Amino acid sequence: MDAPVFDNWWGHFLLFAPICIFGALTFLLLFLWFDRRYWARYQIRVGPNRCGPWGLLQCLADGLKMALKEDIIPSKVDKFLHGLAPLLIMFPVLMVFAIIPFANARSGVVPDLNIGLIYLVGITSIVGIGLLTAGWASSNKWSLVGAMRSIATMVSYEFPVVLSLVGVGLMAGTLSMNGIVEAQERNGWFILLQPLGFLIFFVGMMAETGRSPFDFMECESELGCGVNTEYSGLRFGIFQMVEFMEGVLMSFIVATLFLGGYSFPGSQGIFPEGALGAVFGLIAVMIKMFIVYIFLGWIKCTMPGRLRIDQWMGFAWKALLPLSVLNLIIVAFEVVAFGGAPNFPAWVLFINLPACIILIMLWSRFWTTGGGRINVRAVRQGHTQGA
Amino acid sequence: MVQSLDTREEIIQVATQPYVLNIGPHHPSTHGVFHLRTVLDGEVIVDAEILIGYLHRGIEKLAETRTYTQVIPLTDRFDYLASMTNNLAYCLAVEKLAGIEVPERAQYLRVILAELMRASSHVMSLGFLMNDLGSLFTPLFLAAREREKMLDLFEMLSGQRLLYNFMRIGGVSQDATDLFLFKARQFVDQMPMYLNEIDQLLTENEVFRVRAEGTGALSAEDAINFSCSGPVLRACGVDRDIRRDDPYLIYDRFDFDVITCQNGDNYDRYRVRLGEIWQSLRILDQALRDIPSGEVQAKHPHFLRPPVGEAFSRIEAPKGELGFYLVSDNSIAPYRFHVRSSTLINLTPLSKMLIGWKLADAILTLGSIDIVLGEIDR
Repeated sequence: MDAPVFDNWWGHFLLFAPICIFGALTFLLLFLWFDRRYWARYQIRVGPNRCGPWGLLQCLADGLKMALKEDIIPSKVDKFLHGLAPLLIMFPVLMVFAIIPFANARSGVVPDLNIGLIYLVGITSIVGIGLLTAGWASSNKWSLVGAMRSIATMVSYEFPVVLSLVGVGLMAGTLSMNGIVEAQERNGWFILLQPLGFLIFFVGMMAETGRSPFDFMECESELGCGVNTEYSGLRFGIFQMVEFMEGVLMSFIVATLFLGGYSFPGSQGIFPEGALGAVFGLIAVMIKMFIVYIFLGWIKCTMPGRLRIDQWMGFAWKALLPLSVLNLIIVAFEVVAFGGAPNFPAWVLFINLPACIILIMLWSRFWTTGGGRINVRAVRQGHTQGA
Repeated sequence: MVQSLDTREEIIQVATQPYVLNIGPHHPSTHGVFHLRTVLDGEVIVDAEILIGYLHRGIEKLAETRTYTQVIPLTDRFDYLASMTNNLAYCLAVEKLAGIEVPERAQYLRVILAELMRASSHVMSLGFLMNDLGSLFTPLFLAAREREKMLDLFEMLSGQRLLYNFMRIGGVSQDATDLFLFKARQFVDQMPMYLNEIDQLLTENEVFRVRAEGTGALSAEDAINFSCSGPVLRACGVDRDIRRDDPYLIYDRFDFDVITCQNGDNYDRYRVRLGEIWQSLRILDQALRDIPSGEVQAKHPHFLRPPVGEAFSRIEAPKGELGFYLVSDNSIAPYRFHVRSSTLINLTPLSKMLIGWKLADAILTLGSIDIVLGEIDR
C-alpha cells in the first residue's frame, strides 16, 4: 500500500486517455450549460433553452460557431506571438488537471505526483506569460492595459496564494495532492483547521483566475474586452473556454486542498478499494467542486462591481500578504508544538478559527484600499499637447 | 535610500510616457457613440477631451421645416430613455408661445407620466451605473425588470414602448382609462419593495462605496459655473429643482422634497437618484389620488400659427434642466428651434472630474452623469 499501483503504463494510457479526454470535454460542456442556466437565474432570465433538450447543446453550438467564424488577424500584430498566446494560456490550465486527485492514487486508477503543490504553482504561473504575450502581440492599447493589469495581479496575488499553500503543505506534511487529501481524511478538513489560509487562498485564486469582483483582465465595461480584444474566431473561443475552465479548475483545487478532495470525513475504510472506490472518490470530489463552483457563481452574479487597480493591489499587498505570513507562522508553530503531520490534532480548529476572525477584524482597521486623486500637474507639462 | 515625493514625481516624469487612449466611439460603457479621448500615464488620467457629434441628426434644423405638431415625434429622439419628458418640455414651450390653456386632467396626466418617466430613467441609470462599475449585468437586469413595468404602463396609454409621441400641444393625445390609473396605482404601491431591495443591496455595499465615494467629485462652485443641473447639481449640495423653484404644470400643488447631498461624487449622484425615485413615487401617489375627470385636449386650430414672438420653457427632466427655445414668425413652422439639453451641459465638466483619477473611475463617472447621446448630439 505504499506506492501507487502503476505497473502497466501503456495499457493505462490507452484505456484512460480517451475516457478522460472525451469525458472531461463532455463534462465541461454540460457544466458550462449549468453555469449559464445558473447565472441566468440570478438575472431573472431563463438562459439557453432552445438548442437540444433544455438547451443542453447550446454550448456545443456556440463552440461550433466560434470555430467556424473567420479568424481575423489584424495587420499590425506580431503574427507568431499572436497565434501562440492562446495556446500558452490554454495548455497550463489543461496541464493542472493532471494533478487533481479524482480518486485515491492507491486505487491504481489515477496517478499521483509527489511535488503536486509545486507543480500547481509553477504551471499556473505560465498563464500570466500567455496573457502578457497576447496583450503585447495584439498591438492594441486596450489589450496591453488589460495584459499589464493581469500581470500585476498575477505577481501580487501569487505571494499570498503560495504562502497559504505552504501552510497546507506543512499541515499535511507532504506536497503530493493525494497526500494532502489523505491527511484531511485523517485529521479533518483544512478549511476548518486553517480557515484563514482557506480564505486567503480562495480570494487569491479568484483574483488570479480573474473572477468577478477581480475580473480586471476581461474588464468588459472598462477595457472593451481586455487582452482578447484583437482575437476572433477559434482563438477568441479559446480565451472564453480558458476563462471558464479556470473557474472549474479553481473549484477542483479548493475542493482538493481544503474540502477533503475525494474523501468524506470518516470514509477511510468504508469506501471500497480499487476501481469501485475510485468511482466513489470521483463522485465525492465532483460534489465538492460543484458546491465551490456554485459559491463562486454566487459571488460573480451578485457583486455590484470590481475594485480599482490601486485598490486591488493594496488589497493584495496590505491585507492578504501579511495575513498569509501570519497564517503560515501560526500553522508552523502548531506543527512544531503538536507533532508532525500524521497525528495533527483536530482541536487546533478551536485556536485557528478565532485567530482567523480576530486577525481579519484587526487588519480591516489597519489598511485602506488604494489611494485617492493623483496630482498630475507634473506629468501633464509638455506631454498633452499634440500627444 | 528614501526618496522624497518630489523626486519620485520627477522619476515618473522621466521614466514613463503618457499615451492616448480613445474611449469610444465604440466602447461598451460610453452609453452610445460617445468619444472620450484620454491621455493616460499608466492608468492615471492626465487629460481628457470630450468628442461628440457622432449621433448628430440635425433635429434643430429639421424642426424648422415641420409644423408645430410634427415636431413632437422629433423631440422623442432626444433623451430616448425619457422621451415623454421631452414631448412635455416642447409642448409647454409651444403652449407658452401660443397662449394655450391646458385642461386640468391633462395636466395631471402629464405630471403622472413625467414622474413615471423620471422613475424609469433613474432606475435604468442605476442599473447602467452598476454595469459601469463592473457587475455582470445582474443589477441591470433587476433595473430592467422594474422599467418593464413602467413600459407596460406607457404601452397601455400610447401603444408604444420607447418613443411614445404621446403629448400634444394643449394636452395629451388620448385619455387614460381607469385601468391605466389602477395599474399605475398598483405600480406605485409595489415600487417601494424594489427600491428597498436596491437600497439594501447597493447603498452600503463595500465594493460600491470604496469605488464611488470621493471619485469623480465636482465642487458646488464648479457645478454652478458649468451650469450643471439635475442630480449632478443636487449631488454637489446645491438645492435647486425647477419643479419647486419655477413651477410648471401643477407641481406647486404637490408635496415633495428636493434631494440634495454634499460631496458631489459618484456615490452622492447615485443617492440623489435613488432619493428622487422615492419623491417621484410621492408625487405619483398624490397625483393619482387627485386626478379629476374631464377633457384632456385643449381646442386649438389644426395648423397652429402662434403670434410673432419667442418663448423659452424649461422643465426638470430626469437628467437635468431641459429647455426649449422657440421663435415664431406666425407661420405653421417654428422659425427657430433650440434645445438646452441637460446632459450636454452636465457633461462639460467631465474632464475636471476625471483628471487625476484612474481609468476605471472615468467609466464610473461617465455612468454617474447619466448621459444619453440622443440628447447630447441632437
